Amino acid sequence: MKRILDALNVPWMAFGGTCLALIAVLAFCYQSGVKAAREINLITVDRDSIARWADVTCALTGKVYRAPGMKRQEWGRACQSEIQALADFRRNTTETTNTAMANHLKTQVEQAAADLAAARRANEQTARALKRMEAADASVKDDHVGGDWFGALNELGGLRAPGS
Amino acid sequence: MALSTSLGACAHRAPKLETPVHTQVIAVPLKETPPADLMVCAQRPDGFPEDLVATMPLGIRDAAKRVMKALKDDADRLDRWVNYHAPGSCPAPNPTSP
Repeated sequence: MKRILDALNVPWMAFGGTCLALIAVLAFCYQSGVKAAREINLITVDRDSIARWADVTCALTGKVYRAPGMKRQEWGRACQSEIQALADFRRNTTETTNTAMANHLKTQVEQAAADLAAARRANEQTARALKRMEAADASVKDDHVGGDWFGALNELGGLRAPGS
Repeated sequence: MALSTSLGACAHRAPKLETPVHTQVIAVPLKETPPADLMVCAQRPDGFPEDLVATMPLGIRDAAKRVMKALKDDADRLDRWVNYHAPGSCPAPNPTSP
């Protein structure tokens, strides 16, 4: 070796330095390669995990994420549409339910208010009829009753005399 | 710049969404519909003739008053019930007329 180097007129120290530098470069490349391989492995694991998640999630919607023979661009399209439809369905249902319940509540409030007014009118009518009946009773003599008494009785029953 | 370029590329490749297949809505308007025979207005037949006279002991007069008041109370309540579910269906009691 020394003779070869002497023949080539290369200094011994320069050859040694070159070899060391070459070894350092090779070591660096090896380390980088190992690191890259590890990262690629991690990426593969992540991708497989996400793909499994997509398969399971899409199966819940009743659509497949991917199927044999399906183009890669088509993966998840039907599933995404289904998820969109389900999200729309939930939002629409919630909105419509809230509207229906609010309208029902409003209707009930209006019905109750109208009924309260009707109940008050009926009570006033009955109170006035009772007062008239009392007066008519007070004017009865010898158990003889006539038009006034029957009129008061009809009003008490909310009825009208025949032909009136 | 690099980000917008890559995002633009993604957008270009993003699958186009189809129209949602089902958009039916479960919520329905709430409506209470009582049985039809409960939605008939109260009967209010003609009362006693007011152009005749009679002799009625106190017991009979009191009984007639009880019956007539109960008749009116129940008839008013039934009409209110019908009007509650179908406003304006039955004549409303009018306190200003006998």
